[in-house]
Amino acid sequence: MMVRWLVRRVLAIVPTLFGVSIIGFFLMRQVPGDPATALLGFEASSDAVSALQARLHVDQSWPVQYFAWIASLLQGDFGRSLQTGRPVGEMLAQSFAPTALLAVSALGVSLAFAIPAGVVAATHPRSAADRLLTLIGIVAQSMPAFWLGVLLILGLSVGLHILPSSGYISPVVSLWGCAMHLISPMLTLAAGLAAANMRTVRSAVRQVLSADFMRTAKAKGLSRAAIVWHHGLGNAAMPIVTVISLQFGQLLSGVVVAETLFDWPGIGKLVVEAVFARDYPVVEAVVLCTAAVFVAIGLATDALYAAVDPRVRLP
Amino acid sequence: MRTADPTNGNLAGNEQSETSARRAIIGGGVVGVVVVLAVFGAAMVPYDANLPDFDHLLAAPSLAHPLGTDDLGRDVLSRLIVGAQASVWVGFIAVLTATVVGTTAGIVAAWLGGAVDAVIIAAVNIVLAFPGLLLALSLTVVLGPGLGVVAASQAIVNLPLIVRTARGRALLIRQMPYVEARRALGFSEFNIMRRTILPNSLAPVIVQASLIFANSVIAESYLSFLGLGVQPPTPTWGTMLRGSIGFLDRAPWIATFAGLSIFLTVLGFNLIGDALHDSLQERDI
Repeated sequence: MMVRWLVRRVLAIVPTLFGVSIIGFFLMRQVPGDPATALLGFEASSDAVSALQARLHVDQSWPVQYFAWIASLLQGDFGRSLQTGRPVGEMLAQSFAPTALLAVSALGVSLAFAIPAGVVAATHPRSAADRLLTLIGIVAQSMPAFWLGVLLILGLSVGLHILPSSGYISPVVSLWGCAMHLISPMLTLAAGLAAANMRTVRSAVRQVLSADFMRTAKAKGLSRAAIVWHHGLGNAAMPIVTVISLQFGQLLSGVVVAETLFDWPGIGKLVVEAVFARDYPVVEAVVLCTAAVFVAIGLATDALYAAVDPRVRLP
Repeated sequence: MRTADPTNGNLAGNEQSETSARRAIIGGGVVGVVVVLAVFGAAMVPYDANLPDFDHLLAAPSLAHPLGTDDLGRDVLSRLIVGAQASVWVGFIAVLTATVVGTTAGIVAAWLGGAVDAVIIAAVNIVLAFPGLLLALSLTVVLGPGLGVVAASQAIVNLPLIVRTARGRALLIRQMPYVEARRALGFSEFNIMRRTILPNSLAPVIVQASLIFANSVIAESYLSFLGLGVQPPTPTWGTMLRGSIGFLDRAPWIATFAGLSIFLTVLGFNLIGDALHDSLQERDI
């Protein structure tokens, strides 16, 4: 039952990814200007330009280019960057670690704040703490991420000189240096997430607290803390996981901005530079990979739901 | 959904709606000011927003220039006022397009079902899987930077939200007895869709619309900040913030006030959205 459900869900993804790949591919082909000319400069001879066009396959028809691209994608080959000539897969792999470090730490910090804060707000509705947290939530959600980043640079780097204003140091090179460089971009990214997550935790826990089994738990004589943390948060976990899984898009937008502002060599900076350089293969690969990750996260959430709650598996 | 305690249920409800009303008033006030500035601001500005003044480069806030000047000596206050236009325009076009197209598609999908529903849902899933900012970036590169492209990309990115909201609501409403009653009275399907389903589906769509407006204001500033939005010298809050990065240590006021404008506008729309959400949630279908 579970396996059949899973197979059906995985098959349903194929047309979505196909659609995304087609849109991504044809969108980038609409970009005015020719990549060969862009690479060689306007003084290049027409012979050199057409030779490069042939080498990049950009002189062939679009369907041919598309299927050639898909065929090599299926073999794990993302093509070569028009800008640097390096394999796109290699560039993606290199940018992945800094982005993962930034995104995962930001998500972690946001949850470390959101879960306790959300539970406090939910268990003390309309209290001063609830009001204050709600206010902080609305303010943090309305704060454009890059402005927060600019304020952090102004305060912590320009003003107090305690943090570097930009750049990246690999944790392999220096754990301390990496952490110092990580703080500002991570906070930039985490603030909005923390606010959104706190509101989710609050409403999910509040909804669970009014459920019948909570009254039973209370009647059993369990302590308030045990009721809230075990029964309350445990049962509120699934809606919280769902909302967090849907945050991937927000996380990615934040990553693009934070990486650009703080000169962080991740996927976001890679794609913005590729967009400016009209480096099709890089942009296409990033779009397709992020879409695949997004869809995979959705599938994983659904599967988790289906494993927990058999009703979901019904057609 | 709320506590079923009869003694304080009413009290809590009153307090809740008071908070909602307060939020709506504050949010509405902020948004009202921004819209007025966007419409009439160009005629009210103390200085020409694009006129350089090389005698007053990066001047700190003073009586003559309440919010200081930028690296070309242009008055920051005047540029902020004129910059409201871009944000409001992008938000307005994005919201209008997304709600009109999205509500229609959502209701049609719910009403016709079958293949039409399947196609619309498939399209929504594709747009949803496309990372929002990447779609905006790609569109901007393809069509060239500009306000129209930013608005279009925001309309597309937010479309799935409206389609899903309207479709879900319409599915719920078509099962209501009053829809059945209208059918029994012999009203045409189109008439029921337009006169009964549409107006009753609008409430949650309106809540989403205010959030889309907030998102679009942020997206416009993101894209301008990345250099892909409106091109200089036209002032927008995002381009001002971008331009200020090089002078953060010497002229922090530019970044501060430009960011503050974006923040307050987005806050205004979020407050309105919250208040609408709370008050509409109470109402029956």
